Amino acid sequence: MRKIDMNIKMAGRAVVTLLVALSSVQVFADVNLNTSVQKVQTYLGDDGQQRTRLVPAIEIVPGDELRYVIEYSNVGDLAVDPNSIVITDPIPKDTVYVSGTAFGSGTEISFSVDDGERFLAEQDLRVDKNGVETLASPEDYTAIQWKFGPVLEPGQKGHVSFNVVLK
Amino acid sequence: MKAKIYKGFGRIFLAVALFLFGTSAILAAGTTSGTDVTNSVTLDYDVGSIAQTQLTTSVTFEVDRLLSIVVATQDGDVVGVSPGQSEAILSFDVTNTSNADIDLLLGVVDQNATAVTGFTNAGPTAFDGTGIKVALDTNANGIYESGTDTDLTAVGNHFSLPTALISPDVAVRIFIVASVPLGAGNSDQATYSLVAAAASGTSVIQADTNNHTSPGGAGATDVVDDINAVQDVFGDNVSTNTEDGTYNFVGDVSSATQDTNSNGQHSDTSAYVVASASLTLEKLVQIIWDPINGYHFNADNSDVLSGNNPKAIPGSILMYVVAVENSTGADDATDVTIVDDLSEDLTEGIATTTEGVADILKPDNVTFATIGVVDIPDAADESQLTIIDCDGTVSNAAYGAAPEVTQNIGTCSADETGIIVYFVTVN
Repeated sequence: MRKIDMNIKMAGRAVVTLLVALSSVQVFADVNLNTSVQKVQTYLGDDGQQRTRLVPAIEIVPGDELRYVIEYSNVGDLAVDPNSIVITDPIPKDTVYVSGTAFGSGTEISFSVDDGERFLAEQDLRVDKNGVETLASPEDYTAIQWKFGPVLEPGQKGHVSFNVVLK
Repeated sequence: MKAKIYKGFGRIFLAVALFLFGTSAILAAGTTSGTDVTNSVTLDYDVGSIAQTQLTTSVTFEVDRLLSIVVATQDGDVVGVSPGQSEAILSFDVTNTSNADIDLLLGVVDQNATAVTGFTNAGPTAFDGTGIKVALDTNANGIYESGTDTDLTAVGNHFSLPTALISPDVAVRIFIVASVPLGAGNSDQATYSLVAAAASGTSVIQADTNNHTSPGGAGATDVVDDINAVQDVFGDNVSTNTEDGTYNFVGDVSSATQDTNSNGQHSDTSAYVVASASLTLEKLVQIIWDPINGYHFNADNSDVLSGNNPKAIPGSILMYVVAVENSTGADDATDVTIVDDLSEDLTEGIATTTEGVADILKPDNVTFATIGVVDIPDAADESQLTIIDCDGTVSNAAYGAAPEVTQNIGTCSADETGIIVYFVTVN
């Protein structure tokens, strides 16, 4: 087993062993999944303009913006089917999603306002506010989902990310 | 936003009075320090059209302790006080905008007569309040009540609230209580900043782990974060106005230097202004008649001189005029009483039988050095006191026991003048 970062609590990892016919060689389908958090720090650039940068998640207090990065990699011997990788991430409790920050190259991103029951594009999300169905705002989002389209060949990796603000 | 709650002394008052005093909204404290925030992720995938075991992973961090306080005066303008007044009150709300329970230390900065931004300041003469106390509005009614509200424990020169941790988003009403010296003059000003600092018990929290210190504090370091431990971050904002001071709770010394960002404390400023009566008292004497030279004035009671210059010799008649004026902008002076001790060589009124009431010749007005021209009423005669109260009411009164003239001329408002007129005979 690969040693994981001490900050990462890995609840499970699939190691699938497929016995290839007519061969005594074991072939593994093995995908790693990691997540990490960094703080989005605002600073003044040399030109006097306000900029942001990622720093270690030091002294996280209410109002801080954080970026979660979820990394996945195919460390096995077999390709992962196209359109089969689905990453689901509930917005952490006590945080609010920052509009427009969900990212994932080669992925289709959707959101949920009902704790992951349904995932829809942002423009299709509706919530009931005082009896009136209105377009959901980022504060209403409860989960994000990424669907990765291409094949993930052995040795390939990718990542998705999103920002939140600690309430 | 969480509700802002006012509390009195101890947690039993925590439920009291949402926005009771109409203070401005303050940013809610947010997620409580020590809270674990966990991001859990799942990943599903297929290999060879066969769904594989779902992967899960997560990352957790612990919310650090943001230390932040907001002090806001509740006095919309300067607080008017009178000389000699006891328990004059300045009011402040101190709100814990931290994301944790904190203790508070409170310091008072004497700012002399420094102008308070947005207030109707007076000065520039300052007065010093005496017997200064800091009190907690125990019953959260916004009014200082001696004996009911709690005078805070002094720790050297500053004060502590050690027995009642203030919860996040809770505000407490704090009073500065002072007495006004009798010698304080009209428009004198006494300006005070109230400084609140985050504390642990009666000790100020001197530094955070992000290289910030409280004034006078030590131990600031920029500590690499332990994502799984609670660390301190001074998140207080600079105080609103330049006159808002700071307090070195380590050295127990106040400072008029403006509060800054991330120093673990916050302050706001208010002021007393004396609204006092400011009386001017003047007295003059005019020789009206003597037995040799006769009258000084013409017979038409005008102030035109007759050409005679009577002297103060036995039997002469003198006119005394005593005037009191309250200055512009001053507070009312009530129950103004003029007491004038006469020489034993003078007799109130006119004892002689050679001059009658109808014969007295006096000027229409007299001129004081400071108060200026004052009219002498026609009703002034030699047989009794003549009074013009400050409100202009003219009356007469019998003389009291010689050799003293005593007369109450009522209430004198700003710019009003009252006089008494009386005549004496030189013995």
